[in-house]
Amino acid sequence: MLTIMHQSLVETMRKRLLVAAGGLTGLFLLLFFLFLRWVGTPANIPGYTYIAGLTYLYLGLFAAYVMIALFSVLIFVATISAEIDDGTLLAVLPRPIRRSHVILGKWIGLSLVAMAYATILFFGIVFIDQAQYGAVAGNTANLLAAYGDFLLEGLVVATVTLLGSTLTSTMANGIIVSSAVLIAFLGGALEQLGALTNPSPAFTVIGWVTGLLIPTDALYRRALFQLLGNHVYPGAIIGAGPFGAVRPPGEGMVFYGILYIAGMLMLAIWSFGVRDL
Amino acid sequence: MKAIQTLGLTKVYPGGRKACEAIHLSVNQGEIFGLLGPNGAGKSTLIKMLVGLVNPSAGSARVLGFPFTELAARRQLGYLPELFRYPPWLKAQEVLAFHARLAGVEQSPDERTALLDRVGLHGRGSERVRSFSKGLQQRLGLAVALVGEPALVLLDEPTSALDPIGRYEVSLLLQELRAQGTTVFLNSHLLSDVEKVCDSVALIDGGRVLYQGSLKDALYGGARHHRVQVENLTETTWSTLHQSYPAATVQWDGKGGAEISVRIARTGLPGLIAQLVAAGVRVYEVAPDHSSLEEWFLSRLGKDPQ
Ligand SMILES: Nc1ncnc2c1ncn2[C@@H]1O[C@H](COP(=O)(O)OP(=O)(O)O)[C@@H](O)[C@H]1O
Ligand SMILES: [Mg+2]
Repeated sequence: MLTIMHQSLVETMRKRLLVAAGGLTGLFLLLFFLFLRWVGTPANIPGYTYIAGLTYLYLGLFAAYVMIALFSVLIFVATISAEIDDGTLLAVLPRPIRRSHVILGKWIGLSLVAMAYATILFFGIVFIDQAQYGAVAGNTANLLAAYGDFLLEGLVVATVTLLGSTLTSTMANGIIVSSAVLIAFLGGALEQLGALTNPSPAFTVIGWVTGLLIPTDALYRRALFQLLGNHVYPGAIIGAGPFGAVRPPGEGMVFYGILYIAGMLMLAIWSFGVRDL
Repeated sequence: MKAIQTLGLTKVYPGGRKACEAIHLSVNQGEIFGLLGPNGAGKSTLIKMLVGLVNPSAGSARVLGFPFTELAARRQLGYLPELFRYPPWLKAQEVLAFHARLAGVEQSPDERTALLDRVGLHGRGSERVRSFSKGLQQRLGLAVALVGEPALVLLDEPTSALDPIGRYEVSLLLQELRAQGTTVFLNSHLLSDVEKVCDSVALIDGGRVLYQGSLKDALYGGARHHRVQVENLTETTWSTLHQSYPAATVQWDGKGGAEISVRIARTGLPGLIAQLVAAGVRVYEVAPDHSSLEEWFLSRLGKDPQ
């Protein structure tokens, strides 16, 4: 398992995927930094600094939400399927190694990469924002809770993509998981819109269903609420409309996220175990 | 203990194709065993079941004395897949190092170099797999199969991409392995390879075993046509002979010689020759008609070359 884990890490480096994604992310953070510098802070409007700080933090976090999902799909999408297609696994599996350990090794190795990515992106955005506008985003506990939600978001996407790669082709897998993440986002947006404008329970149900399908969006909204909720600045989150978190998912979503990851991982182990190569 | 013993291994692929049907085979330790059959016969499927790549639909097997589903069965095993690739960004020696780690064996750089030399990849250890042609990849595949000096090596079409020199080198390598006591299980449709090195063979077609036995028996056992070159064959001797072998035919060349064509098992040859000699006939040559594995192969598959 360690060998497989090590190998998938080496592989990520060799493929220059990590380098490319890391470079682009660095570029994004640099642009974010320059942008905030350039926008600057008008000195004499009371409360404006606070609002600007929250707005740009919110924009940055939304970018992080999308980029973490994309990155997780990207590094996991070809894990098993491509290695089946090109015959790499044919030489590996007959070694005295369990298939479950191959899955676990790849999952741990690549998840470390995904988590490192989420960490850099999340704290990069928060710190750049705070450097410009001061501490606007709640206390340390809120910050860590939001960080945890972003990590879970990345792991949810990563693990579903790993499952997909044991079941279907690389291309189909990429399309299916990306679509699911997008649908969850639209469902979440509808739910927030409903919470703002229309008391009909249909909106809540839609949010629930898409959140259960894949809890990426729910985790993102929870993270958002940790940082921008009413306890931080009353009304801030309403301004974001369907992109905000007026009705934030509770603690339960974190447990669901963890269960979801464990379940998907077990399904991946099972489906790879029964597969003929 | 047998190196491999299968008990009714069966594989029905999703979609209903029966690739292997109740296969019973046994491979002795230390021998080179050739599994022959036309394309689509089920050879690769059988090997893949033995190494745990394909889950059998029914039946079981023991590999090196262990139930084939246990990891222990794969500790002493080397495998060369039929169609495969190593990660193109790895160097040849890194591929070997990776497999040594997977196999749980210690491997020094010297051993890696020696292994590469052995398969004709001298001096190519630090080249990336990306730059290897199909034939070079197959050689590297052989080296990977030999990592850790396994007791059993399963090779699926090991020479399909090799040039004639490569084939010759592989046949030497296989003989070296046999001399070391390694068991080799070889899949091939390239009969000349098999003919050169195998001790035992099995023939499968449509997922069923049509023949299993020694290569000698395959080539020389069973009733087959023989041509017997003689002199001094009289009409009387011939008619006596013809009573014992009603299907036999004869052709006199008008110069005292004759050629008898008779369908007879190898075990019956001494009797026939004794009978001829007792009647004063001089026997010059007895030659089996089917003398190559290819002809045997075709006739077994119901595609008699005549
Ligand atoms: N993964 C698979 N799914 C469905 N059918 C397969 C699969 N692999 C092989 N087959 C079929 O099983 C039969 C035996 O294939 P194979 O074992 O590869 O034969 P061989 O190696 O003797 O050429 C063929 O008819 C082939 O089409
Ligand atoms: Mg084959």
